[in-house]
Amino acid sequence: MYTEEDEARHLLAVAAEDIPPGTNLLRGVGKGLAARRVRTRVAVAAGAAGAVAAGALTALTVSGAPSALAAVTAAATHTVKQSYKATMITSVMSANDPSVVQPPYTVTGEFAPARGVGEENGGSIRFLHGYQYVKAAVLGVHIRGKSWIRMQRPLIPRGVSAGILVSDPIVLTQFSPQDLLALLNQATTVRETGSASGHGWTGTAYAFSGSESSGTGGTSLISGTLDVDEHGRIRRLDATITQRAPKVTIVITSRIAFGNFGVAVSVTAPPASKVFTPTWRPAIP
Amino acid sequence: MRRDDGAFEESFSRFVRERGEHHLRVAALLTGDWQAGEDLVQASLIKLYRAWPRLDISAAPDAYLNRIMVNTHRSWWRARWRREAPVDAIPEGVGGEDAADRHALGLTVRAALSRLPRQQRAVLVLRYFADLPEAEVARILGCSTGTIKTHAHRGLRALRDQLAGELPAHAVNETPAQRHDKG
Repeated sequence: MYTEEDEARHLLAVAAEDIPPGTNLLRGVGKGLAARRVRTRVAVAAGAAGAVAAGALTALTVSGAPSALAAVTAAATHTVKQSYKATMITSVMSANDPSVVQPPYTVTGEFAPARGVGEENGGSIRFLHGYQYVKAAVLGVHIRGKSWIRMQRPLIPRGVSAGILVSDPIVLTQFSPQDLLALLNQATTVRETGSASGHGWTGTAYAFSGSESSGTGGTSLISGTLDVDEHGRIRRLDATITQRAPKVTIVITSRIAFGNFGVAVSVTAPPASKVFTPTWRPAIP
Repeated sequence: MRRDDGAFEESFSRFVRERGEHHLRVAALLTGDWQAGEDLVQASLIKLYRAWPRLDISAAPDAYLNRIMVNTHRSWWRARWRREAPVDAIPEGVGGEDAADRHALGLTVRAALSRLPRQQRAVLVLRYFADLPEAEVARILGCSTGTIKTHAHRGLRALRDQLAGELPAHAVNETPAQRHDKG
């Protein structure tokens, strides 16, 4: 007797038999994988550090005290027009989904988002001409005669949130800026909390918060603080994003420090003969 | 005790060589297409790789990878950053025995699967493709066997409904053995 279950087994077997040629699951998985994971994340995360500020804070214009909103909105817009150095420390925690947990990791770099150029960690990751170049050794891949991997990933302010860090490295290359903006658009309050200062600057401190319902039964809460200096530039942004879904809670904390405004950012592309452009890595739309 | 790096690399590579293709098939069914499936497997293998030194690999790492894939896929949904992979157009006249027709049938079934609720789809894939017992599926998905039975029952019905009218009757009703006998 041919049951409904047999039918499902047959159909699923057929649906899983036409594996495309050229699939290599070991590609990118091997020595240096830990480095690959971290660097792949931060390649976007730190490169978009200015955009983090821009996205998060621009979204705060939704509501709140007008003076505070005006200040942080202007600061976000102003900051991404600068060149700067940034240091970002991020961690991901979850009490009930160990697979996403990440210990704190740090990335440093210098960026000029308005020109679409930047580099991280001594030039091992570079942004130029709409592409991201990553040293093959960083990704843990070995390609004969090639020492760089090129991926389509322009460094432009796109309103990226630290929330992307909860994602997987693979997903990270596929995130939708619109989705992230939607997340941040739920930030609903911002208030001035006092004065702030650092080495060679003084300014004002702010706090913000907001939430979003995911539509799939989950919620995302965003909260944090930031400092804006006397020249209207963001100096520090601390953000906590809490994603709650049935049975799972993930908490991402990220601290970004900006400095060396006006730094001359000069990035050169690796020799073309040394660059490999993979086809398996999807590009950000 | 940490295994030495050479053995660590070799045992992981061997596992992927021997079992990667199976898990790619599972992932393609979970995500609805091969590219997204490959992304899911690779993302999951990265997590497995990091956990590998702590795993008892004499026990089946398949179960661990299954759990990672399901959780990872769920997190993609949850975060809504899952790539919206367009499903290939479904060719007309699905049926027959040649490779093109079976490919078309595969596309049709994956498209139908992708329209099912995520949990129902996961149960169907793990239960009827990966052939895992209900108790194992329940452990992976973090629910009771009763819930698995319910999802399986509803999922089978929903899959059949989704495919109704899209497949010729023999494509659904013939067993693989019957199809083979015809050939």
